[in-house]
Amino acid sequence: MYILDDHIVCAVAGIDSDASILVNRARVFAQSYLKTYSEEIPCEILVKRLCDIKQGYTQYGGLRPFGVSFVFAGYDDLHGFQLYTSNPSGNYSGWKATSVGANGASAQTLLKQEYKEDFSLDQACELAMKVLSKTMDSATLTSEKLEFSTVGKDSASGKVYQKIWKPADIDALLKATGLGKAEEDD
Amino acid sequence: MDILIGITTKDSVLIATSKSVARGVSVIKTNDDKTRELTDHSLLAFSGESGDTTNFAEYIQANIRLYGTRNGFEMSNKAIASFTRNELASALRSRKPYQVNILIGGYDVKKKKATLNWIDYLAANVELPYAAHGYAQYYVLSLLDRHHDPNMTQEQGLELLKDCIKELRLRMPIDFKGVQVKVVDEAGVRKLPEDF
Repeated sequence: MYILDDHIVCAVAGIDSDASILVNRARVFAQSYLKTYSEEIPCEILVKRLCDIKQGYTQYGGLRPFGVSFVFAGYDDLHGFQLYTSNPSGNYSGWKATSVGANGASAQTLLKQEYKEDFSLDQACELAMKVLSKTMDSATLTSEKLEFSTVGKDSASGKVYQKIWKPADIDALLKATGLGKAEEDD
Repeated sequence: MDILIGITTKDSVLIATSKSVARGVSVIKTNDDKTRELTDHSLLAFSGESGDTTNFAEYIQANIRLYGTRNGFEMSNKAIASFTRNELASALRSRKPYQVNILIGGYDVKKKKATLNWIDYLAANVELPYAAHGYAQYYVLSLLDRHHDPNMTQEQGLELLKDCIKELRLRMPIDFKGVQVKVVDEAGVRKLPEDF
């Protein structure tokens, strides 16, 4: 899980070393946009520019493409809360709920069945946990096997916040949803 | 000696620019337009070294249109002013800087707010309720200090602008052949037909 800017985070599936190169580029894009326009970069522009880099490696021989899929979560004034995925070919798409990586397809099916438009943040967190528990290869979920993050907007101040969850927070959620219990019972 | 004046009102920005072009001791044009439309709700007015002015204004205009077509939405006025400032700042540190002074008037349709940015050739960018460039500043800023009100209507703004032009006609040592006035508001950018 990486913070790209104050208003956008991303998760990575694939080759971590490739990802860190792209994450670095994304952070530079975000700051150079802020310097030029005195505004935070709109999410889609950042995603698009990263995908332009990825796409470049599909056109010419001799170089290995970036073996990375991303999930981006962000907020901007243009389109509000946004979720994107991108793959090594440089295609990107916007979603209400999505997954990439190992068992991504079966996770996607579960999300499609259970996702509701009017989910609260707690309900969405619970669904994410549920889908992870069903699609991950490990028998039990613990905070050691998961990373979890949320992007939200403070209703009082109107400020966008992002939270990369601490292990204790993840364990608390696992306990609340009853998904991490098996291990504790032992 | 070009004149640029900008006044924001409650729901619009007024931009006045002098109509004369003079080379040496001769006036060679009396209906010059020293403005370029950047987006549907943004207007750039410019003065300074001739040649530099139109070249720079059209360069900014082209870049802002490019941003619009590439991204499918227009830049905000804050972003436009910031981008323009950046271009001037990098030109300033080159072998031949642009000698251009700029006012950018804009209206934000979402926030329902009019903005005016004052930018000079040294790449200082300030958002102001009213502003002027060149010698006109010496005559009109005091009038605007006294009579401007951020909640004034467009009509009141025009009356204030007329007072400013009256003062300029009285005090300026040269004939600037009147001014052209453009308004930026919710409906977009339009030129006023009246003679100022």
